[in-house]
Amino acid sequence: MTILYDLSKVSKSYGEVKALDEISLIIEEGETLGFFGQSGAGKTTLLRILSGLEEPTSGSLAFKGKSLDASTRLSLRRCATMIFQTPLFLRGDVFTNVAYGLRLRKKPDDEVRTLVSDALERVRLGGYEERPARRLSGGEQQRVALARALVLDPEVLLIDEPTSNLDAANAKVISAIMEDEKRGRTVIVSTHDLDLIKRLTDRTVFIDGGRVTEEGAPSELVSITRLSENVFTGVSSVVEGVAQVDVGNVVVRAAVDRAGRATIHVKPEDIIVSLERIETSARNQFMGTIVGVESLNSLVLLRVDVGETFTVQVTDRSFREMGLNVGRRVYISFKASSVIVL
Amino acid sequence: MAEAVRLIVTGDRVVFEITLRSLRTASYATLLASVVGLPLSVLIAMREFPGRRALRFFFNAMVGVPTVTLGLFLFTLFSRSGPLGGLQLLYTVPGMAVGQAALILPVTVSFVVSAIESKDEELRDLVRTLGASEIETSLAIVREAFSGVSLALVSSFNRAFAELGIATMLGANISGVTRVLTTAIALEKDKGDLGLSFALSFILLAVVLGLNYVINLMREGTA
Repeated sequence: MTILYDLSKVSKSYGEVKALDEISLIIEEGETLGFFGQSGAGKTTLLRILSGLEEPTSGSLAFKGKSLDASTRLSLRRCATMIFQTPLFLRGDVFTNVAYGLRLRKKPDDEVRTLVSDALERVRLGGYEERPARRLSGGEQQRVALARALVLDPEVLLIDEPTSNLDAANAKVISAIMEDEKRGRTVIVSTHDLDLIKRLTDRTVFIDGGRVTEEGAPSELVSITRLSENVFTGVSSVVEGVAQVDVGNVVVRAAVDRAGRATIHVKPEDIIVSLERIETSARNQFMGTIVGVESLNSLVLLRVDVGETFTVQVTDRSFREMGLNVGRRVYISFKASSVIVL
Repeated sequence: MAEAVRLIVTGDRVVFEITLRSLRTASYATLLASVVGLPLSVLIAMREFPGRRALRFFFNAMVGVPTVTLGLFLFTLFSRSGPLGGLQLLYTVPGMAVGQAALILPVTVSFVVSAIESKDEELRDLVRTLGASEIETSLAIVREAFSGVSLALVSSFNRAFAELGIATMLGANISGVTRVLTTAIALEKDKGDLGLSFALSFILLAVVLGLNYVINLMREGTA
C-alpha cells in the first residue's frame, strides 16, 4: 500500500481556539476513511487541511511523500477535491457548475460536454444540465455538488457531512452514490451518521476535541460500539431554546439550539429508573416496560421500551432492591443536558 | 426652451461635438479607474497585508471628495512648473480624463470591494478546491460579483460624466478642445444663452438618468 497523506503533529488554531491538537495520521491510497465525532470536534478543519484549503498552524503534512508548501498546495488541490456540507453554486446552470473544474483544466469543449453528462448520470440527475443550480432542492444540490467533484475524477474525494442536511430518502441516495464511487480512489468522509460510517468506511478515526482518540475498523471502535446504544435520529424543532427531537415514537428534549435533522445519543449511565413518576428537574421522563435484562459484572443493562427502546445502566444492587425484571413497568428520566447531539 | 429642443432635434454640430467629448473623457476616466481599481479592489478584498484597513478607509473617505478641491490639487501637479508639468496634460482631454479617473477611483474601489466581500468566503474555497489557482480564484470571484462590479463602473462613469470642478480646473473650457457638457452649461448660462444651456443640460440629464435606469435594472438582476 502506498502512503498518500502523512500527518505528523498537525495543529490548527483560529486565534485562541484550538481546532486541531497534534493530529498524527497516515492515510493510505485507495482506502475509505471516516472521520467520526461530534459537531465541533475538528473534523471539517482536518478535511480542509487535507484538501489544501487551509494550512496547519504547526506540524507537518506530506502528500505523496512531498511536504506541503504554498507551491505544492495547488497541485494537491488538483488531485483532492472537497465537497462541502452546504452545497454552494456559481452563477448559472448545472452545466456551468459541473464544467467549471474541467474548464480550469483546459479540457476541449466536446470532452467537457460528454464528461458532464456522464457525471450527472452517475448522480442520477441525467439531463439536468440546463437547470438553474441555485434553485434545485437540497438533495439535488448535494448531488450536483458530488457530480461537480466526480467529473474531475479526483484521486482523493473529501466529503464533509454529506447527509446531515438531508432527509432520510435523499441521504440514502447520496450514500448509494458514494458506495459506487469509492472504488479506485481514496475517499475521506466526515460524518456523525453511524449508518454511513458502517456501510462505507474501511477505517474510522474518532475525533474528539481536536484530537484522534481512537482509530480502527468501524466494528472495532469502542466509541462507536458504545454509541450504538441509545442513538436516535429525528427532526428537531427549537422551543424556547430547547430542542425537541421527534425520533418517531417519543420526543426527546435536548439542551441545544439546533433545528432540523438531528442524531442524538444518551449514555446508558445517565438514565435514571424509577417505579413511580418522580418530581424531577430532568426534562425527559417516559413510562415504559422492561423488555430485556443483561448482566455485566456488577452492572445491569436494561432495555426499556417507551415507544423507542432505551438502554439503561443500573447497578446490580439497585436492580435487585427495586425488584426490576422483564415485563415490569418503570419510568426512565434523564436531563436535557445529558442528551448529546451528534 | 424651444431653442433648446431645436438644437437637440436638429443635431446641432457644436452640441453634438461637446456631448461626444464629454462621453469620451468620462469613458477614458472610467477605463483608467478600472485598470487601476479592479486589481486593487481584488487585493484589498481578498488578501491580508499591512495597511489594508487604512487603504480601505482612505478610499471610502475619498468617495465624496469635492471635485473642485481635487481639481485644484491636480492643477498644481499638472501646471507647467508643477511636478508633473512635463507630461503636458493640462488643458487636454487626456488630462481631464486622468483627473476624473483620480476622482472616481475611490468610487470604483469602494463599490467593487464591497461587491467582492458580499460573496461568501466559502465560494472562494469552492473554486479553489475545484483546482483554481489564486489568479483564477480572483477572476471567478469578480465574475460572481459581476452585477456589483458593473454597478461600480456605471456609478464611476456617472460621477466622471456629471462633474464640473475637475473639467474646469484641468480643462479650462477651451472651445473645440476641452469644452465638455458641464463646463459649457456653466459658460453659456453666464453668457446668457439659456437655450444652449438647457439643451446641454437635457442631454446631461438624459445620460445620467439613462445610466441610473441601467443601474436599477442591474440591482433587480442581483436580487
